Amino acid sequence: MLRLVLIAAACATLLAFTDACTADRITGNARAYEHRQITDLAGAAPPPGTMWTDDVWDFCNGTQLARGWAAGYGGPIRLVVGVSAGRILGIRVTDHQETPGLADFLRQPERGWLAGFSGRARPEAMAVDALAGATITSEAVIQAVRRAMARADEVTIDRCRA
Amino acid sequence: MSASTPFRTAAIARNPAWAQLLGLCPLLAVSTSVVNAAALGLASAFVLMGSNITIAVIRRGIPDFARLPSFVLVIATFTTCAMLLMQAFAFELYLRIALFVQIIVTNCMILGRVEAFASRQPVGRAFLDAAGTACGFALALLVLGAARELIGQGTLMAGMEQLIPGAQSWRLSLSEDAGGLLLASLPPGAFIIAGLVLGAGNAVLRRSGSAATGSPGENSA
Repeated sequence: MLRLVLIAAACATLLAFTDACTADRITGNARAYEHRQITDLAGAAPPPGTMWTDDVWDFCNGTQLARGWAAGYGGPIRLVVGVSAGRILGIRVTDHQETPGLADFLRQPERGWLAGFSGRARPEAMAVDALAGATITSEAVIQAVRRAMARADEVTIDRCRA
Repeated sequence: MSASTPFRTAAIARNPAWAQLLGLCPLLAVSTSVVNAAALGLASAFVLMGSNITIAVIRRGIPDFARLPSFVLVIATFTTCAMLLMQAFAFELYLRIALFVQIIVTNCMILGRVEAFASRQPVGRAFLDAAGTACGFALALLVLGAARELIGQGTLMAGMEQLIPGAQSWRLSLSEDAGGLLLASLPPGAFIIAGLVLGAGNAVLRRSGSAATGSPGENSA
């Protein structure tokens, strides 16, 4: 029994050591990744002083980012929708646990299925069908986009009026 | 018997992917491009060598009644370390293949080598066996990844800078706006190409006379 405890303790030590060495780097990577995606989506770096408020990031220049989510096949799909003058700029999926391979299109916002949202005023107005082979995933994306846009509509940031 | 025999046997005659058909789930799912394949190959190699060496070192200390749980504990530890290291040094690449890095822990190729070889052999031989198995698996991944990227996207080694800093110039492409045959990137394409590679590999091995592939000889020692 003692030998098992020793093995488990050695494994726990190795894990704690690796975690301590990498934690800061991982947090930094995640933050830099989010900043890159947001800049990419809005076409410009967010103005200083603005930030996420109630899941909406208002740039105060007509551009808004809004977060939305919906239950997908493997868990929640979270995404950010960029909206400018009521039209969709683009979509970035930030987190999902869908089947790799089948859900690779979630990582390609510039081409393929996700690009079909760009320029639309309402996801409901889309003539885009769900993707065969990833029906649940693509319908969850449509629902998440809908929620994000509703959120952007209903939240108005007081700071922008000042 | 030369010192490198365990390595050669593990990498070629008993190649985990082509001779034993182990680890096919990550092999087929991740091999859509060279960079994905290389990343999973590296992560698998790290877990395989780490756990094989660790088990070989402590093999006399593992109580017999808890052999498999101990093996799984060690493999899971190294898999978690591989996940953390990938997030620290290849974040976007990790996001793309995260699930398949996580399920390295259930890869029967690794548990198989630990149980059949590392837990009964001295450290040196266990190391060679792990290195051979890891190279064999990485080779299978890279061959499939290269074929699928070339046919499916018309490029080779695109995005390698996500794994090796400064490797942007490694990218080769057939033509400027090279599209590809989508089938090769999709799961059915993976099965078709894997079958062709498997057949070609068997034909070569049979011709070269080392036709021991039919019965993967276990434990030659």
